[in-house]
Amino acid sequence: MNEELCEILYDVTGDALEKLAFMFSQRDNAVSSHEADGVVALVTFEGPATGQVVAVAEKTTLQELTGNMMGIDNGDISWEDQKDALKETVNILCGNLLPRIFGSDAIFSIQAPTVITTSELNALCAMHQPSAIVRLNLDEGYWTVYYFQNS
Amino acid sequence: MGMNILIVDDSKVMRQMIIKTLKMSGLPLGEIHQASNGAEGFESLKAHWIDLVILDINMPVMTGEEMMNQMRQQKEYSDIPVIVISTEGSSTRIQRMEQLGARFVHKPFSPEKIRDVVYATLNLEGGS
Repeated sequence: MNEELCEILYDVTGDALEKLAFMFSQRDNAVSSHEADGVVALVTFEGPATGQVVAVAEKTTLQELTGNMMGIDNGDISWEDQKDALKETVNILCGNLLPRIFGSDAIFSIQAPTVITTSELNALCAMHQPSAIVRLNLDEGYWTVYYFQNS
Repeated sequence: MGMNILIVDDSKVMRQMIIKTLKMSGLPLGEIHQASNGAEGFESLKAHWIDLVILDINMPVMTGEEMMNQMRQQKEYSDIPVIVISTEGSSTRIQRMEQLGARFVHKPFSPEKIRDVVYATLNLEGGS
């Protein structure tokens, strides 16, 4: 695990959650590359390097994320909107992470984010060792963010 | 008379977040129209009077860059101000959009940033 990449991943994720949804986080050093629970969104990038950024959000955090982003009460939030908020967030993480790692001159193609199962994430972890993982504690639960650089 | 704004982004949540931010900004708002890709956005431009377009770049069907290129090629839409709000990190792509006359805001944004860029783009007083 590359600690410098983990620091960047934590910075980018904390900043995004704060600006998007006023959600404040603390880094938790207890991370594992095997997820048992949570809603998972993945985005794939291609360019000077290829890989994926994956966010695993405890379901309890998604209502707050979505409600704060949209400016609506938690009770009125659909599951579709919660998944959309998570996908948009992982897209933002990827878009902010890559220039921090490769510089702003690098041109990447970022594919549309998708929601995947924890089994699919665990299969990805079995195929590719994550280059960085960070776990963040939020008021409503945890997030784990993975950065895979496959080539 | 409020400003009619078209928001083009494939994320409904992001469109709603931008609307929330615009409402908080004190901008005199008229109609707000939404589209989930450049092609829908262009249809909305044809159907409504629009004072400002807020545009994402990476979208299915037609990207924001393609939509903006089409706007600039058609006289009736070429002068409509455009603000690009995107995760785009490549300075090359950002410069291309700026050369077409767009102002750029990076996601994630603060409400203050959106307010300031909207006011500056529309030459309104009230931004910081």
